[in-house]
Amino acid sequence: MGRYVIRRLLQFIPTVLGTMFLLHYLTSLAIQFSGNPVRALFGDRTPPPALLEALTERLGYGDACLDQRGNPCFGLFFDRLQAIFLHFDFGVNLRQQLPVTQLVADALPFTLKLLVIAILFEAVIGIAAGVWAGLRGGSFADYAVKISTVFVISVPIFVLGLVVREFVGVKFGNVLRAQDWIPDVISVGVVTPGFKADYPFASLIIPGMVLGAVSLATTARLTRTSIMENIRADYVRTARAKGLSNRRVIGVHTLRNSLIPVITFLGVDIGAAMAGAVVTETIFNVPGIGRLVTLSARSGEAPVVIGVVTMLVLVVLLANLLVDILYAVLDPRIRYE
Amino acid sequence: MRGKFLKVAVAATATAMLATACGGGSDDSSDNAGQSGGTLRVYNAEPAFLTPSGGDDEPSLYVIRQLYRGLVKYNAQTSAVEMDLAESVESADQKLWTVKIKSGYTFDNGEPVNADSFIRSWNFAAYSPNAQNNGYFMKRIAGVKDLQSEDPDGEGPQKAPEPKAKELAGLKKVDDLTFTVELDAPFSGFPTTIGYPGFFPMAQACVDDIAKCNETPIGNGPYKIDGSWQHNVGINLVRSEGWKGEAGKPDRIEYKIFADVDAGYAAFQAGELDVMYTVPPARYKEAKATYGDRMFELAGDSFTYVGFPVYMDEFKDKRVRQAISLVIDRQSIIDAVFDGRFAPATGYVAPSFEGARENVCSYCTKDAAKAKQLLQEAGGWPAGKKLTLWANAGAGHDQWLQAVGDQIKAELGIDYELKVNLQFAEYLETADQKKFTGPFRLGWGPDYPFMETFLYPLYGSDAGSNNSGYKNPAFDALMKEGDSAASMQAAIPSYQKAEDLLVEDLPVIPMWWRKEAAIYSENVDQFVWNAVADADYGATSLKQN
Repeated sequence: MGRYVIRRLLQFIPTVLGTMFLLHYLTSLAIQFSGNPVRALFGDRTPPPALLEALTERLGYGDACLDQRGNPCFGLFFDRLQAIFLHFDFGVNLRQQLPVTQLVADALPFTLKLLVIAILFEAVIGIAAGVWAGLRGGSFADYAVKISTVFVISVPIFVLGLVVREFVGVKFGNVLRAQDWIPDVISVGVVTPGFKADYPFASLIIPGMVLGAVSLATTARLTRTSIMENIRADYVRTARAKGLSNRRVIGVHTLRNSLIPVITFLGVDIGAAMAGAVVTETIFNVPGIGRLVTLSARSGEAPVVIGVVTMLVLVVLLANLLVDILYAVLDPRIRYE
Repeated sequence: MRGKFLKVAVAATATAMLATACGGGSDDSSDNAGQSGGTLRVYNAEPAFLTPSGGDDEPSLYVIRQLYRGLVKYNAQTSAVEMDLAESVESADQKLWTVKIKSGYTFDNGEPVNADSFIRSWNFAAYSPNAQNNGYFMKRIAGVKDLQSEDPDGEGPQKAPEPKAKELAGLKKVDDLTFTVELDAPFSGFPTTIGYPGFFPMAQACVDDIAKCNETPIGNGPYKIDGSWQHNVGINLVRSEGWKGEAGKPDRIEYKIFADVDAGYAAFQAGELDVMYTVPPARYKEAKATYGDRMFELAGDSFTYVGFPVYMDEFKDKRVRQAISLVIDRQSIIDAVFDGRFAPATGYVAPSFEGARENVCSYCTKDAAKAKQLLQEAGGWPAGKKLTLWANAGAGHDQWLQAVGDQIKAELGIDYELKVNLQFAEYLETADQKKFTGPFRLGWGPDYPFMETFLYPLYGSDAGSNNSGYKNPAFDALMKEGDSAASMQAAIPSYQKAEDLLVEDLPVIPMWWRKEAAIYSENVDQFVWNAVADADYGATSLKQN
């Protein structure tokens, strides 16, 4: 087990370096082809050349290779690697000149909260609905879950987000806010068109649910299929024949085995949820990582994009590793050497 | 209060007439002013900097103007210059200005606001290694060149040397509350420029640790920061006890930061904001219908133009330029593409400015017959050559530019193509290098409320933002005459004559002025819009109950 984890951790190195180079190359190409992003800061006012140069240098866009189209800028790449790995210096962003590490540290708690809410939501509701439908194949419950998940799965997250913001956050929320008896936590905190600093947790519930909604459908359907398959398996029949209670048969024997594909999905989904956060956080004004990436990609801020996406890659890699280790816990037949 | 939403709504409808009568930027008499108190929650985007020397974008300025105060301020309606911290700003020759400061003002940390605090701030902004965005505004002060280092080999390996001086030679302290400013050349409009936040004072403690001062500003204005700047979340201001001037109306101003104006609009709809200084373009019609009497609109001073590359042979003849301008029906494009969110431009100076004249440009209203005749006199358009129309990508400019192209094609028979694939940064670099090969879209916003800001920076022979390459010695001479006039009023006739040259030569086609549209909630009693500084949160009062 220990050796397996170490081997996996060593595999992180080429993956992370490869990602960083790709990001570096893409952002350098963007600058080579669409101009110095520092010039755009000044807009219609042509800045004095001395000022433009001082600022370009300070923000890290001064390398001469950024003027040569197609140049992969290896020199700049090694400078960046050196700064990141030796000095933990990811550079600064364009407008505020704040260190990327600080931007990420500020944004991360919001995204983590959002992800926890989303994953909890899709895991709890999704697995419950899947079990409910799976145990009663062909019944009303089964059809209800199947049909409702088709609805959820066919709506893209940006549509769902906008619709929820408009109709739940604004319209329904305004009705609630007009009622005196509803506590503020509900009417102002939870049912909100966006994140609020006054309700740092309550106001993330709806964005988190929107983020988790699409994967919720997949989770429910995976659980359903898996349960239906396992319920007919020999070991379940054996368990029943032993005279175990129904709760133990379902809860321990069937569910534990049925959850393996679901756990895989949830683990991989953390990465997908990060991508979804880019959309949800922008719609619901959550000051997290997703909104940070959106804004910096729009203004072509190479250091921020490289820094943040590298960290996201690490998160996805770690999540996948955790999932693989969880397999062993769930299924004693799986061993890592 | 939030629970009583419906009751408030009913009350607001009943007093809607009253609200419009005294709202909408009328803060003329103090006895009629609203009561003070309450918390004003306003929409804001994430500022760039909260220091006077650094903040030059809209979201930064909205916060800085409440935290800091400068030598002069602007009248809410007339945009006339009024003394704020200054006792007087005077000059005999428009070149050497003497500034006297009122005594008794202090920064939030107790430091006095004196001559040093202004000199310190301006020096800090102008020194190019500090890379302060507002260094640009110090360009008129004598000796500014010595604070800017030039890289000897451009993009080469050598680093720029240290500038020759650290302090502006033109700034001299006379006594604690008096200093003199010497300009490179006479400029009668100097007093209007120093109301811009780039000229506000800074405390010594602020300059010593500029990064900290940016997070927790040390201001000298009617409000001070509560806590520190929560990046991407919000900025809270409270009344500053140290402020000696006219107090602000709300007890507290909360800036809620949104990354996306649509998310801000949703928050406004949900009753979470009291003022939004802008409305998402796509929701403009809806907002106007929903919040009709709580929407404040004003033809603003944000200018959109289509410039001619006068350096190209095709555009050297002014009759060609006049002909192209004459076939554009501005109002029809505004109505069709922008839902009426702009006002057609009929001159080169914002209509709200002193000295601006309506309909001064005779080539700015559609007259196809005259256009055809002018083009013919000029020898026509080169046969088979396409007119290239330029705009930057991703900002929605292609739609209206296409309408412009269609009108040119329909009336003058000149075929056109759109060149709208450059991102903003590269587009601006193309403009700086004068590489446009056809009419190009650009914009301009004033730096201070003085006609000159719309004239020289864009059309002066050696002006930085003169992207059309227009050169006219007569224009330069008239601008110089205005700059050295005895007073701001005396300068206007010269500037008007200069504008007369432009409307004949037409180096750029004036297109339109953006209409400012702000919405405010039922909690707001009087909403105040300053003609120069835009939404004035300190002067906006809330209903008290």
